[in-house]
Amino acid sequence: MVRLTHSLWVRMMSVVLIILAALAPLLYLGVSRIVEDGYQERFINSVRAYSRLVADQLEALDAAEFERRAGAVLDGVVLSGQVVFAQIVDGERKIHSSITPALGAASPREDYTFGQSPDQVYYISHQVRRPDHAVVLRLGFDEIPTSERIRATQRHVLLAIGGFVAVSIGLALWLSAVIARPMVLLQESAKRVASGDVHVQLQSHSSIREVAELNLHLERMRQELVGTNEQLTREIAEREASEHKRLTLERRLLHRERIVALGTLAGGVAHEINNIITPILLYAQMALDELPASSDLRADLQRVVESAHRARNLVWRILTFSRQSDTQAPSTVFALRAPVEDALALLRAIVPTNIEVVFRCEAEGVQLTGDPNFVQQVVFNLCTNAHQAMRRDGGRITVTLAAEEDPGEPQLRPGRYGVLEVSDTGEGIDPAALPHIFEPFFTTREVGEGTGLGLSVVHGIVESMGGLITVRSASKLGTTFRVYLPVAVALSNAAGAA
Amino acid sequence: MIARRIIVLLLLLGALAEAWPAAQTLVLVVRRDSPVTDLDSVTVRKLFLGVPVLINGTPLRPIRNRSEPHLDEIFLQQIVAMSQPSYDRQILNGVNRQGWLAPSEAASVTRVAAELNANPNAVSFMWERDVAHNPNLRVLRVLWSD
Amino acid sequence: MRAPRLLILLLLCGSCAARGEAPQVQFLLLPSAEAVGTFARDALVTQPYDEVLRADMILSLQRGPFRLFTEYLLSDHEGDLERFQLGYQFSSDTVLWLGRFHQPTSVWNHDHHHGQYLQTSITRPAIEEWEDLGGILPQHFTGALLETSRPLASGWRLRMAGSGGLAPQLNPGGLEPFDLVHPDHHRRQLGYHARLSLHPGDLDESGFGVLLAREDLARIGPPAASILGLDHVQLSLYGVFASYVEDPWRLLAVLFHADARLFFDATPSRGDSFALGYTQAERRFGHDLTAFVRLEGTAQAADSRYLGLFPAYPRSRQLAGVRWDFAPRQAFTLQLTNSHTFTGHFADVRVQWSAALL
Repeated sequence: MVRLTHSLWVRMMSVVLIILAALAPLLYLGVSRIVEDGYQERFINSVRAYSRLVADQLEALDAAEFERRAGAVLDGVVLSGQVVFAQIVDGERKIHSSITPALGAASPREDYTFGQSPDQVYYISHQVRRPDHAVVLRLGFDEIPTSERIRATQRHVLLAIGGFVAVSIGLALWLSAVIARPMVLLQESAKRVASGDVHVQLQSHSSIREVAELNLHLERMRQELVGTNEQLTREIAEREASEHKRLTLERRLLHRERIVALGTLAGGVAHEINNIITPILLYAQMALDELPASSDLRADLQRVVESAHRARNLVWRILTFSRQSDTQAPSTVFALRAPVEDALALLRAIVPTNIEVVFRCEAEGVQLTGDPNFVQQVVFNLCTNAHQAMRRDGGRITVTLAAEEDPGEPQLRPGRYGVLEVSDTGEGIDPAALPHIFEPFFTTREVGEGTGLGLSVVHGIVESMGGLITVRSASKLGTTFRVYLPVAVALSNAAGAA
Repeated sequence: MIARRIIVLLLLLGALAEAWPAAQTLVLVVRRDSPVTDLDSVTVRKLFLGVPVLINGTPLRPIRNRSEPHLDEIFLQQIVAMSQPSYDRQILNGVNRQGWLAPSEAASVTRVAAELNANPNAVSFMWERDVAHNPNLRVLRVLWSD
Repeated sequence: MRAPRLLILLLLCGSCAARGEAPQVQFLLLPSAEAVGTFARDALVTQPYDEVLRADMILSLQRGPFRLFTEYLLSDHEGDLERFQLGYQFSSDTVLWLGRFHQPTSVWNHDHHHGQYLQTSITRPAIEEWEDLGGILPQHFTGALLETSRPLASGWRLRMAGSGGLAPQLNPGGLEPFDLVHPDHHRRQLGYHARLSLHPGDLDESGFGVLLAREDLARIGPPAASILGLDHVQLSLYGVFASYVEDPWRLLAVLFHADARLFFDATPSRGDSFALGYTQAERRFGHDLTAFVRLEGTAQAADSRYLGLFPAYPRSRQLAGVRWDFAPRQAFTLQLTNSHTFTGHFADVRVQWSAALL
């Protein structure tokens, strides 16, 4: 485009210069010829008429007057200006003007065209009739003033043509600038648009209709491009969001399937163990009841019973995770805040002093359907998980209750949900571990520090209540669990801090 | 030997004399029996510019001798005292404005002589030497001499 | 239609003159071709005709003191015997003409007549336009014309011309001069003209003079609304002119004061006055290039009832042009004209080729 604009200017100037180069000499030659012809013809007309007039005057003089006035007439002729030679030849006698020097003996040659004589004098001879004989009047007219006038005029013509050429070049420069400048602006704008800056408006403000229309059409094209670009960007963003959503769902589905499979397996194993433990516990208890209080075996049986109880408790938790518990409480409608506060009260009693527990309730009166003990279990497990993550350096656990209408999570059906959020200021969860935290027996702690069933139990409870649990964690910034539970009755959206 | 040289020299001188151009004189001529006896230079000029010139109530008829280019030059310079374009324009104006007659033109001396012989009111110009060959013509005046 | 009659007439004249001494004959043909483009036009009427092709033929015969002078114009819209003059040459300086002639107070027409080649500009001044092209002043008269000149002391010359003859008639289409080839028997009135001028030399074109004319123009034809009840018009013209010709310059200025009195059938006559004139300057560059400019104007034109009869009359006009004599007796002329008529304004550009064949 730069080359094109450049060549446009160069071409315009080249055309102008070629035209001028061809025209100026022709113009000069033509005008010079006109000037030369004009001056020469005027000179010839003038000198012929004048010399004829002088000859006629001399012819009109009588003999006496001729003798007396011939010299004076010649002087008058010379004094009139252009005549540089005046002579009357009367036989052998030659009368000269007293003002001009006489020529030699040779008679001057008659001229018929301007510039014929090398002495630059135009000679004319006229026969002047006298009563008894004829005399010859010879006049010489100076060609130099006319030649000089011709040359001066030709110089003026040359100057005028030079001025004309200069003005033409100036005009051509100006004109090419007028034409090229908006094109250059247009080109620069177009270049920016081409490089992606489509929001640069194409404005050249040219008074040349073609350029202005070109600018208008290019600007329309740009606007079309901007519109298309924005639409494409929007569509791409939508597709990316859709893809992201699809991937999330897919991942969650896989996760869920894995957990369900694990739950089914664990539930089956737990049932079998439960079936084994039950007679162990029953017979150990019966044996304990039958032993006397002073029996040494009593302590051993007591340990068996206790171990059986721990095993049974473990089985219960596994069954809760797999939602195969036989001991499900009947569903009731309860306020969300109450079990949360109960769980926090218990938690505050066990967490170290370097960990602060904060509770915020931003939605009073949120009621759920189900077993409030499950909610208590959820809060307890999540907070236990949190305080264990912070027990070395301390920190803060924040529990927030809120309510949301259509939270926007794809797994949730539209509706109102109570939101329980538990966040800590701990180390955060390793991103590699994040996809597995709800799996049973998955733990990042030391052996013996946990069973790896806390979060999987929470997950099982939430799922059984028709809710959803999400986790967001960042290294060194902490972890936030967000539990959505469908409300039984939405009473209010009133917000308030606990 | 000397006699031969003298003869050769005389022959050369004779040849030179033949080759040396004779002095030329242009004269105004009419038919010998023409009523025109005299014309001054002003009248001659008017006549050849197309202005009607009457002698005894009869208009003169100018004949422009165009038998050679040199005559044209002398005609324009000495007789009408104009340049060729000016003369041309003057003639056209006279015809258009006043109905004047442009001088008739003759392309040869023979033709000039024939027209002069045919019309006693005809006036023309020619070299003096040509008049000598036409005894029926009369010289009115000398117009130009070399 | 008219051409055969003209030829017959010329043959008759020629045969009469052929008896005895052969007459001197002069023929001049002035052909021209023109192209016109009108633009910036808001005038209702411009020129009645634009003659594209013209051939002006001049035939002059002389036998003794008797002269015959004819001018016949053939154009793409008319063929007219413009001048037909039988003359008697009393002396070199005096001639009496009888017949149809161009009245001598028209400076332009007296100098150029119908020949296009001999006038520098393409168009003639509006006040001296021909009758059939919308002219407001009569140009062609049929009667007697006397032309003479006298030498004065110091070489100056007094030229005089006087004429009297049948004046053109006034009809709704404009002025209509007497036609020798198709003579009519309508009522005609007379017009008289005089021209006196002083010139520095015998053939000198420079000079100045006075122009006097008195013309009665009878109304003919069906009465148009504009001239309802008009019987005749009496025109009195008082003019002066001056020309200066000194190579390369040629200047001409003409000024007229006109008194026009309109006589009606039933109501008293009405008189009005107006002044009109033009000035033209020409400058020769070399011997083949001539630039010219002309200004024309009319004062008190709006109040004149007489000028109101000519709606196409340009009451003011400016023109400029250049003429190129590109070959002997041939010229190209380019002319730009800006005209203001009673009905509006228009401009035109003209290109003309003209020539003279002698």
